[in-house]
Amino acid sequence: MNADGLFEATFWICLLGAPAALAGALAHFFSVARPGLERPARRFSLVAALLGGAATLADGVSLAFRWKETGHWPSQTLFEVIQFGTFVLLLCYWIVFGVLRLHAYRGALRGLTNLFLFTLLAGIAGTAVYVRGVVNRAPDTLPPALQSYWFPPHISALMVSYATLTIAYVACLVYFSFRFARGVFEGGVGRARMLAIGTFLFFPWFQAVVNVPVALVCVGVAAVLYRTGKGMGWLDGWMQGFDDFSFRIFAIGFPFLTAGFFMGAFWAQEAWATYWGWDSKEVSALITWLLYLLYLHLRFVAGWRGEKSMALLSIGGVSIFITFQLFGYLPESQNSLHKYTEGSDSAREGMLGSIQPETPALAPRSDQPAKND
Amino acid sequence: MTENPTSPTPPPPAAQAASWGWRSALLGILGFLLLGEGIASVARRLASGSAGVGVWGSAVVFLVSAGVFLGLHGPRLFAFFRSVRVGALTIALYAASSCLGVLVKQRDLYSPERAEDFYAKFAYAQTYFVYHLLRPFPFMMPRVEIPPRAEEGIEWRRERYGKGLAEAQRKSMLASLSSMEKEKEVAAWQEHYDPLLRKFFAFCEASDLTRVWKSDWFAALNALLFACVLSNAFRFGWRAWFTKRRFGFFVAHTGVVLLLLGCLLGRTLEKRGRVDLSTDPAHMRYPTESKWFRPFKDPTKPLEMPFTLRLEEFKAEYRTYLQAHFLDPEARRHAAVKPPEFLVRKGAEFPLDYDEHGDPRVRIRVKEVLPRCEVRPDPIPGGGPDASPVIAYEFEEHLPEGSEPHHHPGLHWILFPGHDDSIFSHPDHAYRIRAALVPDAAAMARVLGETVEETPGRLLVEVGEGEEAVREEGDARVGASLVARAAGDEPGEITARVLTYVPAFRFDRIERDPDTGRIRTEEDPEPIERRIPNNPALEVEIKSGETSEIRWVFANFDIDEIAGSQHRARWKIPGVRLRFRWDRWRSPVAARYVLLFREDGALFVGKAGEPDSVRQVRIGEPLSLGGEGSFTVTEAHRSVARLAADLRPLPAGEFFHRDAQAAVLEIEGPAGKETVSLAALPGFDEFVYDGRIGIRFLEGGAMPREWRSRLGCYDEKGERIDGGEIRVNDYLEVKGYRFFQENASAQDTTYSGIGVVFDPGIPLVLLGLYTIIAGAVYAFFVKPVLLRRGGAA
Repeated sequence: MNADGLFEATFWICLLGAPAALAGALAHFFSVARPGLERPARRFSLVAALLGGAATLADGVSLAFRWKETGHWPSQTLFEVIQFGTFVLLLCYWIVFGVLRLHAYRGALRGLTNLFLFTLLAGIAGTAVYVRGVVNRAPDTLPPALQSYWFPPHISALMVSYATLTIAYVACLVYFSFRFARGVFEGGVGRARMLAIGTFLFFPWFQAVVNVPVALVCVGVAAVLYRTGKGMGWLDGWMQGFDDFSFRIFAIGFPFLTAGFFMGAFWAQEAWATYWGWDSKEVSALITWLLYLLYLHLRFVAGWRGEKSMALLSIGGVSIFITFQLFGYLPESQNSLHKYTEGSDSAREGMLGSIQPETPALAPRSDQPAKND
Repeated sequence: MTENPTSPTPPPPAAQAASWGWRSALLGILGFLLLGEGIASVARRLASGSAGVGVWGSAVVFLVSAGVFLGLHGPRLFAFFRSVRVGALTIALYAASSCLGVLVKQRDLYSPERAEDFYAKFAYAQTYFVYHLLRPFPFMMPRVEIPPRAEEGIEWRRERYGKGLAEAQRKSMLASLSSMEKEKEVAAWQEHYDPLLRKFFAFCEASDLTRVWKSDWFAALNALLFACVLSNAFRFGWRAWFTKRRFGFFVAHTGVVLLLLGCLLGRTLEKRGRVDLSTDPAHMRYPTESKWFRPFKDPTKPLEMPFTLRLEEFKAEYRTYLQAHFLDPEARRHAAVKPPEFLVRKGAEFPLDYDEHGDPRVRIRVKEVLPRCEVRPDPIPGGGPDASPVIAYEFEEHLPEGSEPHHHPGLHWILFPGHDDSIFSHPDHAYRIRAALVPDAAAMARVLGETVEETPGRLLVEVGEGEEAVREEGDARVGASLVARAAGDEPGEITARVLTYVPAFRFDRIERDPDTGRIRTEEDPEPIERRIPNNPALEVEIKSGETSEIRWVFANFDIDEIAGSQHRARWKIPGVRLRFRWDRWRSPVAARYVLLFREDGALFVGKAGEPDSVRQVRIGEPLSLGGEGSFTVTEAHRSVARLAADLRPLPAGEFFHRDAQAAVLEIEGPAGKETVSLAALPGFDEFVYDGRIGIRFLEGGAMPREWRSRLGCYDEKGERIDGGEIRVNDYLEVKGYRFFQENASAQDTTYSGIGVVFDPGIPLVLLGLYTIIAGAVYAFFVKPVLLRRGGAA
């Protein structure tokens, strides 16, 4: 067994786990209408949790193999970053699961945890398919720029923060999906708000890969519950819960985001001679950090709660998406120093604004300014 | 659910934000930014000295009225900065400005560009972005197919190198084809939308959107951020700062204040640039030491450092890899496809040459990786088409303690009798040795009796360009002349006369005669034959009719090529090129010896030109030939089939060594199992298995695996005051100056580009960042625990 084989195994486990998690989620949701579904719901949840655990284990061991194989912290190539990112995502799910005691929830709320797991497993399976198609898996030697003690903590802290904040994003997504469904079935939500939520959920853009499946499942569940006569009143009790839940996850992720982001500055100070160079990746990360900072301030100082604060948290999530996925296409990214994963192997250790050596001439040499003219 | 325990601060009294509503706060901020723009533009005019009385007058009036305003409405202004809404909007505007900074192509922070040059980059970058924005999913990208010929190549690669590598090639080929298509489409869009892009460009340039980070409005936003954080950081009174609830808030905001102060300090006082140095004292571009560095802002105006920086050592080490290429005729058809590179790691296995079941016939296994090796040729006696006589020798230096060893590539080498260029040169230039095959004693006397006519080498003169060029060649002795006649009228007959020969030309010791402008080389007390010829050069006078010109020509490099058009523009007689071929045997040296290898295997040595000096040589016995160190013949064979590598591992501790990287491989296949030692040195880097697979061990790549410089800082008396090693990620700081390993060149192994930064704000910035992290960790992780415990108690 090697790193590649185990990652492949992770893919298959996720592929099996995702439908189990979805079935668990749906059964839990519908148990609100039909209490008889409670038992199969618990069974599905157990199977999904076991498969999720197995996927985490397989991904983790695969990462360890990879580490041994390459001889350095496995976050260099796009493949390694994906492998590491998926593992951290799964790990963070279990951390959130443990810290927030999600297993204690019953009924529809328990369905939500399954819905999270479904999103993760399906997302990882989808990513693995993408990896199979385009990404080169060959390991490479670590370029001098990455040979730093900051490399593992910087990447890991950011990964943990991105993973937790993504989970917070999914929580907001589920909330807005149900809210949208309620607007459709019961009305009572303003037209402008419906348009905004609908655009956020269904706009065919980068984030649609996550948004559309989650939104469709939630709207479907709401539709069935609505039809079975349960109405949408149960959503009222959730509102405060979602806001609180998403904040708690944010509170785990934000210090990691801050530390990871600043560690980048410490590292840049040692490698590129500048703690801040307005590199597009740095600025993208700054934007994300500022958005979460805004969320924090508005939530605690201006007293924003509920839908308003969750909308901000969602914008932060989209910003992570952009930093991570859209980054390579930004107008400013063509000469970014952070493009290690793009397959280019040219030396990019130069400082910002580096200058070409002057044209030599067989005239007196310019090591002193007096002779320069 | 209950009140959130992790909240850093409790919700504030609503009254605080009452005075500034969202709209008025936004208007206030925009007004502040406009004011910043205005102040900056006036300040710039005042500083440049172009301001008239009117501007000075309005500046004074503004200052006075600002003072009055502050006096009257100071508390109101303070309330503005402390307002929650102003703070939140400032963060939001900061984020929005940052978005502009990545969504609009930015001008280089340091080197200014002409508008038209920058527009080309701008238009491409914006179009590229919009193109991808509108095609967010992979299936929207242009579809491409691999052409049949390339498909054939991939199939061949699968047979030879396996499925995985063939698939990798297919993927990268598809990616590059798709990317080519994409680029075509992007170019078409760019052309189509050019008028629109130009309008957008003009707008972005006028509003500083192409230089957001250096714009005045962004500076004003920074100032506003600072004012907001400062006025909020110390609110609630000092007693509150150290309470469980507010400690995190206080620490984090203090961190931001420190950070912004550090940035301001850095921005005002920083100096940033580069110094280009070489370890080679004879290097034509870069010195070995410098007291000056060139700032990025204006490279033409070097800045002085409080000490002299010397490059004491430099080395770039590259990764090693294996390359297997097939030697059959079919492989030649696919020669355009680069053979795959296998990274060398201990235990790694590379299967090759697959059969019809998809199983490899040949396997290469890396048994041992030797990062530092002394490589000695190991002559394997035998016949064959490439067989030749070989004499192996050893040269040992007995160095006085503490002295630097010579880096001489030929210390443990071989001599091929009869080959003119197979010569051993003593590192201190005490003598040279070559070898000759002789049938008998008479031939020995004849060979030794030949007098050596000393000359620096050959001078070549080329007149005219391309096909019509006329080339003449002649002796390069001082005083010798050479005449070349061009086909056309221009420049006609050319006479070249050698004026001077310098064995070791030093670019850092050039002085010009104030009257004639001629370069005076340093007076060397050593006689010419004792000088180590590490940069042989000739001073040549060329004449064409009445015009005459003096040029320097070098044996180690073509100055006309390297120095480029600037240098050629100074020629008085264009169309004439000079070359200098240095003579490795006949150029001045203290003594020349010839090793004489007789038919019967006996070996003799004698001084060239002195037949009576001949004496017999015993294998393994040092020859006393003068100079430091001893020369010993270790082996002599009349017929050697090939030279294998005799690897002698050395301790890898020292980085700046010049020894080779090597590996021991085990190759298994139809022709049996072979264990081979290969080193990354020409002549020792290839092995042919079974007569059909060439296996190469190479060192290289686009990027070094590791590069380091050892720097020394010297005071005016020439004493070393500080120093150390730098590598990427590991800098050296001396008297506030930080030195970074920044540049290297695969072609020029002696060159090291060193980044220089003087920024007194860095410690403050780092302190600020650590403080913010500490504040965040306290507020989110520690405080909830403390509050819960307190609550439980």
